[in-house]
Amino acid sequence: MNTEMDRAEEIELAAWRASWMQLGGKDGLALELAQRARKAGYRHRAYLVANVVTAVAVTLVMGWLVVYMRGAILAVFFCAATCLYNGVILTRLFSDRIAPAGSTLESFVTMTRERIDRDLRWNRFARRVLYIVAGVFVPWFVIVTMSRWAIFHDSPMWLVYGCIATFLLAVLGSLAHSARKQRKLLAERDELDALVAERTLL
Amino acid sequence: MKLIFRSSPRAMSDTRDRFAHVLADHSRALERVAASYTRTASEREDLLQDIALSLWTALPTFRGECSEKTFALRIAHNRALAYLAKRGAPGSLRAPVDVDDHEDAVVATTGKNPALAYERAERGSRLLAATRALPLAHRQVITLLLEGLGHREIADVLGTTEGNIAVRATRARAALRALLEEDGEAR
Repeated sequence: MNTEMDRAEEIELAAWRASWMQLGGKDGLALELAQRARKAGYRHRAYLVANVVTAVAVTLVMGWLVVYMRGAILAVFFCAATCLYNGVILTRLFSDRIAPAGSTLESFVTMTRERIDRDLRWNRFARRVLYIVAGVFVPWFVIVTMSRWAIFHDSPMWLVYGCIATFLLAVLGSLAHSARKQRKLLAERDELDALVAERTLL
Repeated sequence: MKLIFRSSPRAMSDTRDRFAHVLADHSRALERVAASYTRTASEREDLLQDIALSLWTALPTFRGECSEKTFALRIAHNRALAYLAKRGAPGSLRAPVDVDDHEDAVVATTGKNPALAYERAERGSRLLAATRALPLAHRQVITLLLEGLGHREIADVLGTTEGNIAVRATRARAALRALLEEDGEAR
């Protein structure tokens, strides 16, 4: 009886398999995927190179500013802050690893979770930096503008207000982006936990 | 992001050839796995690209402990899980879907006899829709079973024991049977 049932189930599975194997087979898919993966690899490398070039260029400009201003405290402070920021960005860029998808599911899930936690920590750090920028530099900007109003008064007003508005918008935009990213990462972590819990159910 | 650098031009060329070879052999299986995790053609394309990129970066670490197919399917299932987590709960495939909802371009319609080809395509399409309607734990096992993997290989892909897979496979097959019968009765 059991053998008959097993046989029936085997026949059923074979029929399903035959139908399943009919699926797929888009023309030239393998070639298209290979090309896309290669292009993504090149894009990633270009992204890394662009980051390094930007960091080096910004550091050189800040260095030049320090020399040009003959070591003025403010220029040295900005240069140090920029170097620190670039260092953090580059270290993160070159030391970050995504979970290798070829590993076992367990280690893949563990490493994906670690990646999400790392991104969350990084995001929190970036937000704190932004709060400092917003809390320190915005008042400083206003004070400088007010104290040197005579100079600004003679310049075109759209330039003064334009600079302030651009700066404020950039800070607000970055804060909004950071908050959105935080929500997305938390949702991703919750969803990953839920998926892992679900897939381990019998 | 994983850094995509190779040690030498020769190693790079070897990896490229191997990559092209693995994709040529298994792209259809990867396409089916991606289809079982996604609902629309654009989502499937996205997931397939993720899988291909992961395969490209993971291939140099492949030491032949399992078959190439098992390795490729493991990558596909791992990436699919990360994809589902990233896409978030709204509209997630964790939620059961309607079995009738099986309009799908993954279905092949080639063949000498158009009527037979259509019938096969229709059967495949119903099977895919029913597979998508299964809970994740069952869907993973059933898609791998349908790809022709044995319990040991499935356990290897999903990182669990053979005993666990045997239990899940029995339940997944019963659930799939029930869904297909329900769909058949509804017609």
